[in-house]
Amino acid sequence: MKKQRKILFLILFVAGTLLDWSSSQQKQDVDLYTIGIVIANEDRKDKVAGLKAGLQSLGLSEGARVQYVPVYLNAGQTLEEERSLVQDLISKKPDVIVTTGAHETFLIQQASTTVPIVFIGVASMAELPLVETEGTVTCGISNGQMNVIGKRLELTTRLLPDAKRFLVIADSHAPTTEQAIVEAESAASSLGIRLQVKQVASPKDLEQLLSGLSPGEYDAMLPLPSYVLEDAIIDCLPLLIEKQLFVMGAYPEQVKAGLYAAYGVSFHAQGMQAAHMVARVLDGVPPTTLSIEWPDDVRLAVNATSLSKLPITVTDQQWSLAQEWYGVRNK
Amino acid sequence: MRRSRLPRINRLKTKMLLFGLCMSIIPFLILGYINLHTSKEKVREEVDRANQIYVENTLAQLDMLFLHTSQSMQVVQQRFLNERPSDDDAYFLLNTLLKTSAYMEEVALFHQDGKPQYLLNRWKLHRQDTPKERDNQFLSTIQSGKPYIGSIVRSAEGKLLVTVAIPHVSANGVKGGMYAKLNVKQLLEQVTLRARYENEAYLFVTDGKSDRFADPFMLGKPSDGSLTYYEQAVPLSWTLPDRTEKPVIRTYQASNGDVMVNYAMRSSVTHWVIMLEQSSQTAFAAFSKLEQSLLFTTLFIALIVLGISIVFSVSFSRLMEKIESAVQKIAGGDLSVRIPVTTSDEIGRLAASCNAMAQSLEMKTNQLLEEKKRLDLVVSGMGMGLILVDESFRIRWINQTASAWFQDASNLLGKDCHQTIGQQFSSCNGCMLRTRQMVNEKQTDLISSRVDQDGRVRSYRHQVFPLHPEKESSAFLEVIEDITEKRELEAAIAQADKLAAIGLLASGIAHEINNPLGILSVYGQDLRDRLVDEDIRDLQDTGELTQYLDTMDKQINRCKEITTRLLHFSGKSPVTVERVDIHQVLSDILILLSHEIRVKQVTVNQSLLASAPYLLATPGQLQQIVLNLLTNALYATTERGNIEIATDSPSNDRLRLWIRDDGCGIPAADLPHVLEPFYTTKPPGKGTGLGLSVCYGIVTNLGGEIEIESTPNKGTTVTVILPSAKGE
Repeated sequence: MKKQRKILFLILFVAGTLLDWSSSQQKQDVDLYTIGIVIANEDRKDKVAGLKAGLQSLGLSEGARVQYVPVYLNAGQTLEEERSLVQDLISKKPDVIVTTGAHETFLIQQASTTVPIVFIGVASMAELPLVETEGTVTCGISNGQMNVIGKRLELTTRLLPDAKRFLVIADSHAPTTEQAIVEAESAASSLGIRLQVKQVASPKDLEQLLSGLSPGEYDAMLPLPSYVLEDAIIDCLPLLIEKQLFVMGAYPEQVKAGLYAAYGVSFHAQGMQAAHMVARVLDGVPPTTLSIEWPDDVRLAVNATSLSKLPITVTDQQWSLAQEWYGVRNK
Repeated sequence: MRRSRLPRINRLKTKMLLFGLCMSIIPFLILGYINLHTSKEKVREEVDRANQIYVENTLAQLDMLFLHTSQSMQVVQQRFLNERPSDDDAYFLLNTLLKTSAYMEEVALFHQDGKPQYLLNRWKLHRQDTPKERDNQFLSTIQSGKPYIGSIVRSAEGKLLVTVAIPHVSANGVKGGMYAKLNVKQLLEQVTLRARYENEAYLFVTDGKSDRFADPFMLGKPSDGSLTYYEQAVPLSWTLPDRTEKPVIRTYQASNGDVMVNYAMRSSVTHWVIMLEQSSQTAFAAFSKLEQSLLFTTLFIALIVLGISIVFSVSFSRLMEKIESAVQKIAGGDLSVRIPVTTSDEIGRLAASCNAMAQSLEMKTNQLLEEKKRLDLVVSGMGMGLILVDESFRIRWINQTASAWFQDASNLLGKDCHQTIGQQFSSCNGCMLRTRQMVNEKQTDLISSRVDQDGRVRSYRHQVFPLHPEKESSAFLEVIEDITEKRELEAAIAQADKLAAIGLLASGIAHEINNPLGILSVYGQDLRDRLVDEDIRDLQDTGELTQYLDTMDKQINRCKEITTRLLHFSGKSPVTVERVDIHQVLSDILILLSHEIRVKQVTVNQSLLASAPYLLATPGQLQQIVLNLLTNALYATTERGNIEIATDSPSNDRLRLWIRDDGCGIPAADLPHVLEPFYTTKPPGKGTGLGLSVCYGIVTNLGGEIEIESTPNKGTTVTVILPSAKGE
C-alpha cells in the first residue's frame, strides 16, 4: 500500500509539474532584457521617457519584458567617478546600453566594445570618434541638428522678418562647432543676412556674454549644436527676456521650458525612434548594421507667453508655421 | 508448490491500467487529430483570406494616400495659379502643405524645364541645394500632361524617398507642375496605421518599376502597428502580372528552410506592388500552440487517468490477487487457506465460492485419506505384496507386505522394478518382455522363487494386471503372493494321499508278490528233490536245469518289478520336471493295480492313441493322478465290470486322457464337491477324500484341466487335458 501511495503521489506530482510547465510555456517563454541607460543630464529625461514609451508600444513593457538600469552622471563627478559608474553598469551585463548624448556614448565605448550601444540624438559623427572604428557595436538616432541650422535661420527670418542683427553662439569645446559655423554662415549668405558669431566655453561664459549685451543689441540669437548650450540657454531665459533677445532653440522641449521658439526633433520623438532600434538590437540584429538613423520628424515649436514679452508682433500667418504651441498668446 | 509469478504485462492490474489509458487517450487523440486536421485547412484558408484582405486594404490605402497627396498638390497649385502669391505667401502656402503631410519631405513648384520656382524642404533651407529633377522620365511624363510617380530612391541621409508630381496644364500646353518628395517609411506608416495587422509578417513595397523589393518592413510585432525596418532577406524575384485583380499567393522555401508564403498585389493606379510575406510557421503559430496544448492536455489527462487507474486497479486487483494466491495455495495442497471476503460484489462472491470450494475439497480429501488408510489396511491384510509399476517399469507404489520382503523399501520408489526387486526373483529376468507377454496372452500367473533373508527358498505367485488395458502402454499392478507354505501343504497332502494309496494297495501287492514267491518255492523244492534222485549233469544236459532257473529268475524279476514300481511311487517326488511318457505311467500303475483288477475280474480296455504321449512333469505327479483316477474307477466298478483307458492328442500342444468306468457313478448332489479336499463318499478306511483334490491341484499346477462327467448307475468319465511336451 505504501508503495502504491508513493507511485500515486509521484504521478500527481509529475502531472502538476507538467501542467504548471505547460501553462508557463503557453504564457510565453520570454526573456527579461536588461537595458542600461546612461544619462548625463537631467534635462534629457524626455529621451528616456520617449524610449520607454516606444518600447512599451513595441510590446517591451517595463518589468515584464525589460528592466532598466539607469546611471545618472552629473556635473560634479570626475571622469574617474563616471567611468567607475559605467563599469558598474557593464558588470551587470546589460543586453544593450542606451545613451542620451555623445559624452555618455564615448564613456561606454571606452569601457566596452562588446555591449551594444544605442545612442539617442547626436548632432554629428564628429561627436562620436569611435563609431566608425572597427569592432564597435554602436548605433543610434541622429538629432538632425547639424542639418537644420540653415532651416532654423530661415524660420527665424520668417518669424522676425525685420531682424537684422543675428548673434550666433558656439560652444568652443563642441567638436561640431567648426562645421556648424560653416553651415550657419552658408545659410546666412543664402538668406542675405549677416551673423555675429561668438564662442563660449561654458555656461558661465554664456551668462557673462548675455549679461554684457545691451537690450536690443541683437534681434535674434542662434545657439549652434552643443549639449552645454542646450541647457545653458534655458538657464539664461530671464536674462534673454531682459535683453529682449529672441532665440531659435534646437528642441521643442526648450520651448516647453520657456524658450521663444525651437526647430528640431523632440527628445521624446528621438527616444521613441531609438526604441525601435533598441528592439531590433534585442532581437539580435547586429548594431553595426543599423548605424545612424535619420530622425523621422522635425517641427517648429513656439512659446506664446515668451514671445509676448518681446517687442515683436507675430502674425497669424507666422503662427501657422508652428506645429507645437506653448503658453498663452496675449497679443 | 512454488507460486509462479505472472509477467507484469499479463497481470490484471497492468491490463486495467492499459485499458484505462487507451480508453481515455485514444479517443482524445483521434478526435484531436480530426479536429486539428480540419482546423488546419480552415486556418490556412482564413490566414490566406485575412492576408489577401490586408494586402488589398493596404494597397487601397496607399492608392488613397497618393490620391490625397496628388489632390492636395492640385489644390495648392491651383491657389498658386489663381492667387499668384508673393514669395512670402508662397513660402507659407508650401509650408502648410508640408505641415499637413507629415510624410512629405520636400515640395516644389517647377517650371516647364523642371527648374524649381518655389521649393520648400522640411530639413533644409529652401534656397540651398535646389538641383532640378534629373529623372528624364519625370519631365517627359509631366510634359505629356500626366501625373508622375517616380521610383523609390535612397537619399544621402538614408531615407527612402519617392517623387510625386502633377503637371500644370494650361491652354498652351504643359507649363510646369508641382512635385513632392515623400518619405516612403512615413507614407507606409500612415497606410499601416489605417490597415492594422494582427500577426507577424513582413511588408515589402516596390515601386513596380523593377522586380526588386525595397527594404522590408516588419508588421505586427510592434503592437501599435508602426513600421520598422527589419533585416529580412529579400524574397526571391517574382514577376507579377501587370494587372492583379486579387492578391497573388506564392509559396517558396527560404534559404533557412522556412516555408514562406507571399501575398502580392499590384496597384492599378500607381503600379506599386505591396507584398506581404509570412512564414508558414508564424501563420500557424496559433495552430502549433493548439497542437502543443493538445499534447500537454493529453499527457496531463494520461497522468491523471494513470493515477485513477492505479487506484482503481489496485483496489480491484488486490482481492483478485488474494484469490489467485489462495487458489495457488489450494493447488499446492494447502486446503486450510481462506480468503477474507470484504465486498459483496461478484469478486466477493468469487472469493466466497473459492472458500466453499476449499472447504469442500478439504473435507473430501480427508475422506479420501481415511478411505486410503482403510484400503491400505485391507491391502496389507491380504498378505499379498502389491506393487504398482508404470509403463516404464518404474516402481510407483508398494504396499506394506511387499515392503516387508525388502530391506530398503523406501528407496525403491521411482526405480526400475526389474533392476531392484527383480534381482531377487528367479522369474524376473526379461521381466519387461515376460510381463507384456503375460498381459498379451492373458496369462495371469507366474510362479517364481527367491531366497529370503534366512536363506530359505520361498515360492511366489506373480499376477500382473494392466491398469489401462485399452492402452498399448499401460501401468501394471503386480500382485505377488507368497505360496511357500501353500506349496508345502500341497506336497504334504499329496504325500499323505500317496501313502494312503499305498496302504490300500498293500494287500494286493502282497498277493501279487506272494504268487511268484510261491512259484519260486515250488520250483526250488522240486529241483532240490530231483537233485536227490538225479544227477545234476543229466538235468543240465537235458536243459531242465536251465528251464528251472529261467522260471525262478522270471518270478524274481516280477517281484523286483513290483517292488520297484511301489518304491518308485511311494517316494517323494523330485521337484525337477522331466519329460514323462504317460503311456509308460499307465503301464506302471496297471501293474500295481493288477491284483485288484484280477480279483474284481474287471476288464481294462486300453486305447492309447496319443501320437506324442509326453508331457513335462515329475513322474510322481503323473503316477499319482493316474493311480487316483484308476483306484476310484476300480472302486466304483462292480465285479466283471469294464474300465476304459484312452489317450489322444486333440491338438499339437495338448494331451487328453480318458478313464471311463461303468460303475455306480456319482450322485448329482456329490458331483460339485468331489474335487474338494477330504470330501469322500467311501466308508472309513477305504479313502481319505484327498485323491481327486490332489489330482486337481497337480493338473492345475501343470496348466491342465480336469473334467468329471458322471451318471449314477451308468458310470463315470474323468477327462484330463494336459499341455504336451513339444519336440523330443
